[in-house]
Amino acid sequence: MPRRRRQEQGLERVLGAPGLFAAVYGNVGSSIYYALGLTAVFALGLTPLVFVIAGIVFAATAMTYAEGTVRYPEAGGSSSFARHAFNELASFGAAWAQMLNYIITIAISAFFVPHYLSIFWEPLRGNPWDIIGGAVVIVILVLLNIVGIQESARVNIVLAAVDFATQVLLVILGFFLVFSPHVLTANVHFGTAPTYSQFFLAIPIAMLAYTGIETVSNLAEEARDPARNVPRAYLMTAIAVFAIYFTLPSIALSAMPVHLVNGHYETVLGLPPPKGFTNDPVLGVVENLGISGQLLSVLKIYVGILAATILFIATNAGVIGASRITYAMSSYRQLPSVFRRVHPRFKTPYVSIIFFAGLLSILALLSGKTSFLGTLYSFGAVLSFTIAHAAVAMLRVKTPDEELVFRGRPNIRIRGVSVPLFSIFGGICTALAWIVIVVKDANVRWAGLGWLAIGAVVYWVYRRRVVHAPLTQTVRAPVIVLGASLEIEYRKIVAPVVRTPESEEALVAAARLAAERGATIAIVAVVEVPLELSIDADLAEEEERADELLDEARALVEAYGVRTVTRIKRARRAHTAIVEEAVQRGAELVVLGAQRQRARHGASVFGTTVDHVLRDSPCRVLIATGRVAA
Amino acid sequence: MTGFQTRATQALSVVLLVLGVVLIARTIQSGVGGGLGLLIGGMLVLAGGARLYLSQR
Repeated sequence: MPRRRRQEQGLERVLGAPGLFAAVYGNVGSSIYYALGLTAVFALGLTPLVFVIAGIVFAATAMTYAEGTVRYPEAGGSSSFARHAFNELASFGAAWAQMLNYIITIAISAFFVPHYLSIFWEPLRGNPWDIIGGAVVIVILVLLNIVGIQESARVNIVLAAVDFATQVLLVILGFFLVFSPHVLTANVHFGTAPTYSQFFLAIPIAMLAYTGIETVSNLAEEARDPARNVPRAYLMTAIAVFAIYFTLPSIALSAMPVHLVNGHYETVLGLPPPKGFTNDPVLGVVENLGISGQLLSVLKIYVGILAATILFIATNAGVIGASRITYAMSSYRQLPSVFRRVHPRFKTPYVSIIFFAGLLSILALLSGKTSFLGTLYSFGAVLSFTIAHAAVAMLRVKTPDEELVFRGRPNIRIRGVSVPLFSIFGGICTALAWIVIVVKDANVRWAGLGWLAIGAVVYWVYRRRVVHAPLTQTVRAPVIVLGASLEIEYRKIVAPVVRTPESEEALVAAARLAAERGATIAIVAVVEVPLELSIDADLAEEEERADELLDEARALVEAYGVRTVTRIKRARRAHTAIVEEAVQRGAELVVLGAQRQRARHGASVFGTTVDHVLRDSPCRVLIATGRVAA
Repeated sequence: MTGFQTRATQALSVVLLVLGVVLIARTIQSGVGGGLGLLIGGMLVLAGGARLYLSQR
């Protein structure tokens, strides 16, 4: 059994809904360790309500990302949606905003690692040791990523489960020990503490809690069945996130109520150290649960180590994300090709890792201010979300008759267009959130708008002076050619499979080629949906067969030591799905098997699927026909 | 805020306003597919206008 063999070897890389969920929750779940304190700085007693409001916007955003990602299961998230819906300039804007998010995710996650390790050494809770500690974390991860570490999916799943279980445990303990509806209502002095201005600024800051929603989009390339796995992964994430974010803030504000001190309302949850817990809010919850003695010490050490580990992994996810998006941007000629350069020995994009994930993150970290980092993150995130909402809505308008394998809800039909209400609602909310940040926070206004201005200048100069292409035109960087022999570097190969000897032969040819060049093979099984059925019809039997075929094909290819991703695609015709996959992955080669047919005048030699792929493929096509007896 | 900071903020607000208006005008001029230009342009106009209003209040 190929599937069992893979699992025994610990090489499971098939990303189903639970795998995707674990990867996302590892990221989204990590933000509670800083978002809770940061939001409380502004929202005070209304912190629980602010998280609920931000959660509703998150639900709309998750729906938008689910539809966009199923439609285009490729790395890039909002940048990819914007390319399809608008043009390359819009795609660049979204990607540049995302880049800011990754840089700040790295900075803020690394910055909070020392805060939670302060259980061992108190000075790590504040400046300058948290800055130094954070910088050390970033340097370590940059070096590890240049050398090329492999993240273990299994470790991530276990950590996400432990993290979620711990957060649930804290909520349960809190409900029994400190939860008080009376305290929660007494905490609120709306108009004074928080002021209306603080309240409206707190909402976009609370969206910081939903850091990492783009992760599913970036991993969707490796999902076998995006149409089923991606929406489920988003749903699971939303449920888990709501379970924590709708409850833990109430526990925190019950444990650390708002008091009037020297004429000002404050909660220790939103105060800086040494008195407050804005730098380590979850440790603040533990410390104020009403437990004491040995149990408190053990719980603090456990939560401290867990939080530091989760934040360390979230920092690493940011480093990987930053290098991936830079690589993608330079592949689309949005950034100079120097950022696409890979290390001669380690084969990793070391220039982009050092510059964006290393230097810029450490630069952001040097401010040493959690609220600045948090608000700057929200600035980039809500801009990126707004573009994603707009793109998904525009795609519905541009192609109103397109059959969607997954369609977000709710919708309303206007003049033949199914208008996505979730995108409209989400887009309005995130756009307003962005305006509030720009209007209310001076430091972020200068830093965030400065970042956008720098990006616009770099893009304009590079496009006009180097690429000599219009700003709105999509241009792919040429395939890297090695040496004088003009040997093409095949980094991505698409291999469609069916259950025939020729297909198996093609797969072996692709595997040998990929093993020589260190390439990745995307193995594709197409489920052809008859015209009389809707594109999302239940075809469980066909999908099960495709699943088995992919398992066998993967086992065969991995025997050559080649990295694979597998994909089930639904389409009316196999060739459209194959060509679409080659385009989406930016493949340099399609390898497919075909039976030789007796040549008749004007008739197809290999069959219509191969003919169409040959005609429409964006890259080279290699056909394996099987041997003919001598 | 110092006088310099206030002037800098007001200047930036005007830049945002102008940028927003230009973006909206260019988007309308370009025609089809410009939904995002209208949205981002509108956001810039609102942000610049609101900041300018608050700084003069």
